[in-house]
Amino acid sequence: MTSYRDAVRTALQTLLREDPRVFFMGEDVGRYGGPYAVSKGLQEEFGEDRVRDTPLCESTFVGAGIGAALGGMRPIVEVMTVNFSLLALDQVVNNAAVMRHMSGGQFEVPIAVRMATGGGKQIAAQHSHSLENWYAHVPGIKVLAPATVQDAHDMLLAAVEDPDPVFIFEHQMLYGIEGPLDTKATPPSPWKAAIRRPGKDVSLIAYGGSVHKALTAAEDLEKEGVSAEVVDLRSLRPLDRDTIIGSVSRTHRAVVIDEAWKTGSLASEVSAILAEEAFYELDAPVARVCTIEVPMPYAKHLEEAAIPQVDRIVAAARRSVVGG
Amino acid sequence: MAEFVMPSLGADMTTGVLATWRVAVGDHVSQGDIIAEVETDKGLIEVEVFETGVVERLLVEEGEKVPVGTVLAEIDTVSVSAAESVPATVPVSEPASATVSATVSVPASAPGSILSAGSSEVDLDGPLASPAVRRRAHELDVSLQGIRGSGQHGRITLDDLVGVGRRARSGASERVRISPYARRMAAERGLDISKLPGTGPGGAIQASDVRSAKASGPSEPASPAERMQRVIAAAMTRANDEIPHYYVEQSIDMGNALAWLRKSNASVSVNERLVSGVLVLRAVALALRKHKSLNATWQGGQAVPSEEVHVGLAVSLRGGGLVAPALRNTDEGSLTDLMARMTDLVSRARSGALRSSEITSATITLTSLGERGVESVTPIIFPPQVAIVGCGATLERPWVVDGQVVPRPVMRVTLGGDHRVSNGHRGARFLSALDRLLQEPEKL
Amino acid sequence: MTSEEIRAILLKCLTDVAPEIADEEIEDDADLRDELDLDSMDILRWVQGIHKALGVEIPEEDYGRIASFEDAVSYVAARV
Repeated sequence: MTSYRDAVRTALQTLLREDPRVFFMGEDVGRYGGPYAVSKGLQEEFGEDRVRDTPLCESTFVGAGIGAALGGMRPIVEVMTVNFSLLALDQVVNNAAVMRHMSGGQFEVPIAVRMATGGGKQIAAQHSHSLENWYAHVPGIKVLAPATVQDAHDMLLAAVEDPDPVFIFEHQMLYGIEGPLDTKATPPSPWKAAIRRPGKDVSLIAYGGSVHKALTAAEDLEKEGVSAEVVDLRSLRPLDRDTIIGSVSRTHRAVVIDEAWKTGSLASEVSAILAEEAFYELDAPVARVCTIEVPMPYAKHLEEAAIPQVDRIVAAARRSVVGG
Repeated sequence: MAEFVMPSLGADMTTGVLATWRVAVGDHVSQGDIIAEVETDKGLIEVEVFETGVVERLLVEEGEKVPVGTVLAEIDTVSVSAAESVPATVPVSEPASATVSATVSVPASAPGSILSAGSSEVDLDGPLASPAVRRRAHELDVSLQGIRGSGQHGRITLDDLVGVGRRARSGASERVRISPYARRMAAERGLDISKLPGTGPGGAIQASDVRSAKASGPSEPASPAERMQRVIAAAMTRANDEIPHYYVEQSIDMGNALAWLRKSNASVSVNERLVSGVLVLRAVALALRKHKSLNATWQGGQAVPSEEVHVGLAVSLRGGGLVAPALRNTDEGSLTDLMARMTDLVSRARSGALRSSEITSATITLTSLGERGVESVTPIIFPPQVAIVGCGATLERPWVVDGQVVPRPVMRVTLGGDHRVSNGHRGARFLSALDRLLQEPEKL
Repeated sequence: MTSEEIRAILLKCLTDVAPEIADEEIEDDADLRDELDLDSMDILRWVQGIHKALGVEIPEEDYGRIASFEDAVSYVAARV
């Protein structure tokens, strides 16, 4: 069994070892080993040139990564949390995402950017939000959300290989989970959603940290005689519409779980896809289970109450299946 | 998971007997496979499955009689599609560390938790609702009684009232509250949604309500022949009530066709002989290619033309009864092949071994009563089709050719059309096309 | 082959085409089309069955000579 953080580290090691164009940079990723200890030991192994500590200025080091990618390198940039990444949003939206388009296809930006997202660690309203939908809104970049140990490894490899900017959102509560890691197997396409658990009564559609809660909810629902299918979106841009619609066409009911705020969320997007393309398959209104629309509270019980939890998923699924 | 349901093999079928299972649990089935035989008022019918997958459960035993729409078997399509397509069932690791299990565990009865603990144990004495909710309910003129609250302990919230308000208004416009999927199912099964009871939220009709819709027809008639007659009665009554028929008739000189047929039959073995009916059948199919508005079905208030021509053949059963199974793609293949298919279809119709797709897929019907000597037929359209062709006997008649009266074998053909879809002019053009085709039998 | 044997074979061929008539009494001199409600396709299938069973090929122009069961038996008996 391997931990999620070790899986990311293994992928980083492989990339640094096998491709001299790859280098890794971010805040505290070198000497300190990364805020989530993902890059522990990498600076010793690969040196200060290839594992670089950056100043606390996201706009600068994300921009530098974009420049290096334009220059032929394969940079991997770590941003400490998605909240901080907003400082670099101009570089992302106005440079990384548009360069291929504005150069008439002459330039590509093969950068991979990793960052932590999500709440649950009591680090309050400036370190706990889920803003991956902001990124998924932007054409020209791709967005991944690995929920499993295997995906944490495979998706980083795929992101570096991809010729376009790829943003990877790692839920901060997942770094400690353990699971099997096969570094030899051919990974499934990162752009396709996965059915993590088949079921026939309701589809629980989730991504990232919420996938595990959806799976627990599915187990609870099974005890009540409700068979829930769990869909892991995996790729947030592009969204795998076929798998989403395919699942709901079998179950005819959908609960979308998203740790972002409900308004304008990926859950909204998935719901709209279902309304647009699977309307005649729906036997109940689509339900969304999202974070309560408040800045993330610091107090433990309030934070727990704000974030989607298993009981809220179960209740939404139950309402969808039995009505009421 | 897909459900294999008792199909509706005709607009007026309400129940069917699952006569034989052709598959067992664990069998792999592909779309189009015959997996069961169903006994209906029209006889024994082979029923195809529309999914590909593995038979997971057989829910109805052989001999059991169930309403249309009853789930007969469950087909596991997931494991098949998982094996064939991309979204594979990838095992996810169990959250192992303490930090994660904390995030996924439910804060069950944590003091100060603002999460709802569920409503089951609270003894309600009238609905729980805040003053704001009560005022809003008064404004909307809706009763709080019977509304299921989504708040703590079943408390009715303002959000709950938004839905109810909408319900009340929509009820006034007599709109049926039904899920899109259930609406589609009901349409496919020919069920009237205004008569279905809804058990979903706010009385909404859901798929389960459509599935369990009970047959509400009159009591069961005694014999199969009586049951079949009842089906015909219902279909023909509906046709006469709903379809504004028009008729056009034409006498067609069958001299060339019969001469060609005699010559052709004399030169082939007895097993390859054709009957004149097959020439008419093919000519009807070819004429329809140019007159698509007659080759259509009436669906949801409009005609939907069919790209393919499946002529239904009215087959009377010795001892009473009538079925009109489709000869699929009647306009394709050789005449010998069409003859073989027609012979097979008629004998299966008479022995009660029709397939469900043959029962339901006809795009027009051809009825021929000439064998018994009648001169012409005024047929009634078989809904949901929009046209029907009737043939009388081919009889020796005085016929004027180049100013001379000569005896010719003449057949009287009648086209019955649905005036909502086409008009007499179209029918007339179809009949002259049919006439022209029958003058050149070698080209059929 | 005796007339009785031919009779039995012709009857078997006829009930293959129209199993519903198995229990019916067939009047020897009645018109089969009227009597048994047979159509031209049934007659053709009967003719094909006779050909298969006895090797006798009945051309279309002779259909009038097998209109009744009795006629058919003597027609076939003369050619078998």
